Amino acid sequence: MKLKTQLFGKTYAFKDVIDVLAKANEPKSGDALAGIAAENAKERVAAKIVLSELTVKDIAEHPAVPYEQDEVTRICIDDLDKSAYDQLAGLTMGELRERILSDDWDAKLGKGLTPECAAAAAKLMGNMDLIYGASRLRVTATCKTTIGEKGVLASRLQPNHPSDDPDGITASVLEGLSYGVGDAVIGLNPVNDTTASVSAVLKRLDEIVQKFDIPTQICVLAHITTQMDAVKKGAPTDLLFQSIAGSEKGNLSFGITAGMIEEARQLALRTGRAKGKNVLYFETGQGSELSAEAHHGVDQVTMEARCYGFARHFDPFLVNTVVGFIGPEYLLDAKQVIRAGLEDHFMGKLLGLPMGCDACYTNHMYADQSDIENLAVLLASAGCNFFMGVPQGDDVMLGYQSTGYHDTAVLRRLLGLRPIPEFESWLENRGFWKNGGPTRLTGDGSALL
Amino acid sequence: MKETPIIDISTEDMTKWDFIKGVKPAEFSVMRKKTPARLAIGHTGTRYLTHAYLRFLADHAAAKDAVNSEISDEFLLANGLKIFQTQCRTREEYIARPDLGRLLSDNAKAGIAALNPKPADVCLYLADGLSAKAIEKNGMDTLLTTKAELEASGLTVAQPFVIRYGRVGTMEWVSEILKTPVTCVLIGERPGLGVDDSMSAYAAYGAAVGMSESQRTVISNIHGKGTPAVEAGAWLADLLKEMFETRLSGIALREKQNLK
Repeated sequence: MKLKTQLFGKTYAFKDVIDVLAKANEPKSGDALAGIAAENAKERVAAKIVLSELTVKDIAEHPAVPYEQDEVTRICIDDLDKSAYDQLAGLTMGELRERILSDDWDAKLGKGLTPECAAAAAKLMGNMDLIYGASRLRVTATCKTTIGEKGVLASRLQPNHPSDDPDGITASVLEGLSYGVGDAVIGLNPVNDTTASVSAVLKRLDEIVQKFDIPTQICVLAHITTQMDAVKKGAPTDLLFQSIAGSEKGNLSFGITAGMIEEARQLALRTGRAKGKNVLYFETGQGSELSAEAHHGVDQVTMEARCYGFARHFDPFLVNTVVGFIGPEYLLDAKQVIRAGLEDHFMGKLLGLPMGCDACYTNHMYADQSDIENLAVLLASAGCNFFMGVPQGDDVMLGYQSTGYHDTAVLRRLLGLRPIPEFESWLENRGFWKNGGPTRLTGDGSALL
Repeated sequence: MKETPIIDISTEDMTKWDFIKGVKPAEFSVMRKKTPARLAIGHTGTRYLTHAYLRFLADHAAAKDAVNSEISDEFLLANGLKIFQTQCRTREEYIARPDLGRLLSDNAKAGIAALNPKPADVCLYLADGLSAKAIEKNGMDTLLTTKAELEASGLTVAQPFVIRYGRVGTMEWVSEILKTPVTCVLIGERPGLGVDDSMSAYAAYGAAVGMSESQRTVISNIHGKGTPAVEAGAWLADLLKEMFETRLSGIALREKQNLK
């Protein structure tokens, strides 16, 4: 492996594959915080040059965390599709980038790539490469309905409430439905991570879905053990949720192991109402490993890709990066958040995941609502499976801002996209949507009462 | 002719908004009143109405200004407080480098020690965190209430001070300098869209560099619309007294409380 190059007459040498991967990253405050970022713009490009000459095999054989030490690495390597890997192993990363962007890339080949290879490809791409490359990778998944078909843009209805009040939550759900939001899932982040409270909210969401016969999924995004306990005690649910990380240590900081996730999947398949085999919902986000001191000296894009390698083992229905939630110490400003959102979506799709995105920001980042509207337009063009729908983007429980109910409706009209077909029929039958546009009932939460 | 002034939109109660004129407004409003979410905001085509758009901008502006706010000289003078700085040189550095926001500058270490030549049982201090506005608005009400109640029960309290560009983790360093058994920081929280002046109190028994997060006890949401500052001060005093007596904090203290 060649780990050094000349650029503008100067020699740039890198310690190892991890060092090359880190320094080849576009600027991120989290990599600077970790002390692993390129020192200047030329060193960053030198690292990209060295990276472009490493082969798929070089990178696969040097995982970010050693196989013996880490469950996530073992899952990623053991899951590799051997025949796809053999077809790609000899390509340099520069050649892999060109293959992915060419007109004859077969999406199935992604199963032969380790997460580190997906991260490396992203590091050699500009934003339009990430958008265009992802746009041709459709990934579908089926729970009660099917998400990810070409021409479809779905959304999660996120009716969060500062005290999990079922009536307050219902008001947000009803209004969101009237804007055409909620076909991916109606999913609440609870304040109270207790079996009783989670069960009460699940029961209310289920009542709404049953009463109005809505073709969608429900979920309460508590810790997975709390959801499992609720389900075992009879609470209704379609999807089981968990936040995941790109290292075993990171997952332990979330209180999970692969074994627990598999147990949850089996439980959901046994007790749920899914037609298909996809019954899990995962959230990720660059920087969470560093935040848990579980990054092993590896950059945040590579660690994020490893989340996707872990996730694909469990055939999820929904995966989304919560890209701007973590704060400015990991993603400083709008430019970094937009870049990260595009990288995450591309890497997830390349590895074969039904990716969505929570395009979001916190009030201490250098970003605002217009910036994440930009990201949403870019990602919708890239074929992103779903976004969040929050009342005017203001999450009154989590204290951050995401995309609003109105934004899903606009993105569909702007780009000629539609809701999941069964949900679209439901919207039309209920009078909320007609000929691809709003009606006098759109925005009227009381119309279902 | 006298012009009608433009109303201050920040004072409007959004839970009373009804831009939609729905088919069953009475039934909907019963549920709608139970959430602070921005509902019944209406739409033009599929975009926001101007009024709702402007209110969102106003609320975000308040949050941004709170993040960028600094502890003023007037506040320090009026309350006789000294201010010390962490190793962050600017607010921008503070935003991007939480590690430096936990470390005290050499000047700060010396200054905090010089301010407190005598040992005390409890140290209570202020830090700007992500909203200096929260500290200026609530900090002294909580601090003075807590201090008075602790002293009334016979505990000694160190001379209070302020830390600029401070994170919660300054507590460990302050505790190591002053050797106070109980250390507590009142710190500005990250502003939300509705609330830009919320303060938290973080406290620990025997705080030391390298200690676990689970050793901290926290009271959050101290502000006009949450727990009022004076009320929080009384509650905090009881909590700090209990920490001093039981020599516990964080999860260990909660487990002991649960046993009762």
